[in-house]
Amino acid sequence: MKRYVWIVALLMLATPVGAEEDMETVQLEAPIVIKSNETFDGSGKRFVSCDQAAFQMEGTGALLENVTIEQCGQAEVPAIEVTGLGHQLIDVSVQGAGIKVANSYGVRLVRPLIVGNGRAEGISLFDSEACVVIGAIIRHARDGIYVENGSMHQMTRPLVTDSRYGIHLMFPKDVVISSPNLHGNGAGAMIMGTERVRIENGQIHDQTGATATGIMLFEALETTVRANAIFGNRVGLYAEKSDWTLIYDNGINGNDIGLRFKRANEMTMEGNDLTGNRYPVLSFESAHNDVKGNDWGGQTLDVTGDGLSDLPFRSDPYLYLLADTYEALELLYGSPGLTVLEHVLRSPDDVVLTDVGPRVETKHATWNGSVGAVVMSSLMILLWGFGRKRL
Amino acid sequence: MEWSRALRQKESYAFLIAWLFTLVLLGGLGQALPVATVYTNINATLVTVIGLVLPLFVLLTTSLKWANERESKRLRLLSTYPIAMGRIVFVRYSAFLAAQAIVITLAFSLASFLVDLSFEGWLTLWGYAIGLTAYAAGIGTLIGVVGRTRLRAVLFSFMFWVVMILLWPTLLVATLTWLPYGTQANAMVGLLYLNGFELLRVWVSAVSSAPDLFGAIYETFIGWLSQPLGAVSVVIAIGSVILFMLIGATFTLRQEGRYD
Repeated sequence: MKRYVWIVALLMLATPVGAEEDMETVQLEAPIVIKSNETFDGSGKRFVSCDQAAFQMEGTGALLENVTIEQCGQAEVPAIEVTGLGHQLIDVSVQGAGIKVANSYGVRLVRPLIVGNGRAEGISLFDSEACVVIGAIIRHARDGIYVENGSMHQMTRPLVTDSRYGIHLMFPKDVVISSPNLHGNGAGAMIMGTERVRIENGQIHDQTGATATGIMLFEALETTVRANAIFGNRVGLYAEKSDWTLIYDNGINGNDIGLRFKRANEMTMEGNDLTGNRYPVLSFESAHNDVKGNDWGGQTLDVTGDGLSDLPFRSDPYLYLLADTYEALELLYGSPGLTVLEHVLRSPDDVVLTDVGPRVETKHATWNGSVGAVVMSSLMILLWGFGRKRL
Repeated sequence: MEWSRALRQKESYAFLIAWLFTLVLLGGLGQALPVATVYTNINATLVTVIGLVLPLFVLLTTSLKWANERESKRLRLLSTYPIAMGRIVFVRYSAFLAAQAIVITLAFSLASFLVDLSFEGWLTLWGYAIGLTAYAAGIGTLIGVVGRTRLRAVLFSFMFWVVMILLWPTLLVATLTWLPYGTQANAMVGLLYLNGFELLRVWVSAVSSAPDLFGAIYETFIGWLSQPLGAVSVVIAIGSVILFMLIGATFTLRQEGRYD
């Protein structure tokens, strides 16, 4: 009996007191306004708001932390509205229409968690400068992070899923997006009318829908796409009317179309792994591109031993152009006859992208022997020997 | 006896060496490739190369063999024995197939020491190679019998290979585009069953890759083809063509035997 009392006592001690305690719900009739240098800690409370914002931050250097906000399902007004200078939002959780930052400078959003309603943006930055978004987790928003105008923003480790665009940039300059994880969206990142945007170390994969695209660039200048893993999309990276793009050291694999360029000029592409895509690259009306040292998975021949093939890689969209007109001809994909035909009939130069020195993979013969292979080989040799004998 | 003859021929060793080179070199080139689906470059490269080269080898070998038999009058000698012509044709065909199966299996198991591919991958490729060999050997038998001389057998085989492998996409592109847009995909599937080489290629791709390999328009068909029922339809289509070819060869030999 004494033993059982001890066990019960230990179990009671092990159970954290108040772990399942409900949060206090605060129904807001008007927004809570946080002004310059004020701090608001919302620990232990859940703020509910419908027709207006739950919080408004104004002035300079306000801090909002540990806040949980729930909005009505139809809410269209952002849960938090921020204007001003140097505000910080730390560990803010929103279920509803997200966070709007407008006409601000140096706002920091640290670990925001947003479950959207599919109609409003998760985080939107309008006409703001030097905002920092760190560790944002956003799902089911219209655009996970929407940026309009402004410059010098930094986004680190944003995770956006189940939205229209993971990150949507409209006309900002000098934006850095580091280690984004964008999947299950209509497009991972839509970058439009920008200058000097940098996306690096990202995981941009498995977007959904008919136009599922990893990264879309439209009239984006001097964009840098570096060291990203872009896979499982319909189009890995699409660039249209985008000049001076720098694409290097990315792994773009397992997409329907790896890269698609249209009037994308003066690009530099180097060190990318483009193996395993149905069509590695489709290029239309694009010129003056410096393409070298990418791995296309095609025929290579390294005579000089510099790790670059002496046979250039020439993308030929022969089947793609056929199937684009007559979809039924898709069944010819991988046909040996077509492979030969592609080498015989060369497409016009304006639809071709040439890598002057594709990367050569150094192959090492590795031993993959197994007991099964030994048994099977021995059996076949015996059978052959036995079969040779005249009976 | 036929099996023994087939395995003793130098062509068998040449086949083994050719297979080993193809599998090890191409398989090795395509290694180290992580992609999202199981349809790796190794599979794709090997399927393309096997689909291109193997039918030509087998068509030439079988048709030359039969044409040689006819040129050397060995068949006339055999016809004096109390053995049915159909049996001779079938035994020769099955002996060739059995010998090739041993050669292919040996080459695949030896190549697996150096090429890193899953067991399912090897099995699919092996099935593809055996299917192509059986199909091409059946057609080669009829070509050799009809060709009568070795020169004509080589020419007919090569022409057949050019049309069915090399020019097949061009033929489809040239003809299918005349059909109404809505019927083109159905026509493609129908024509697929007319060309066993293409049917086997699409089947092996369906088995080893995602259903959207050939685009959304064929997703349902490719999904069905990768199921057991699809495989049965492929076996029936290929098997009936082989049977038809062997019966055709037997019939031709019988008809001509009457006038010898």
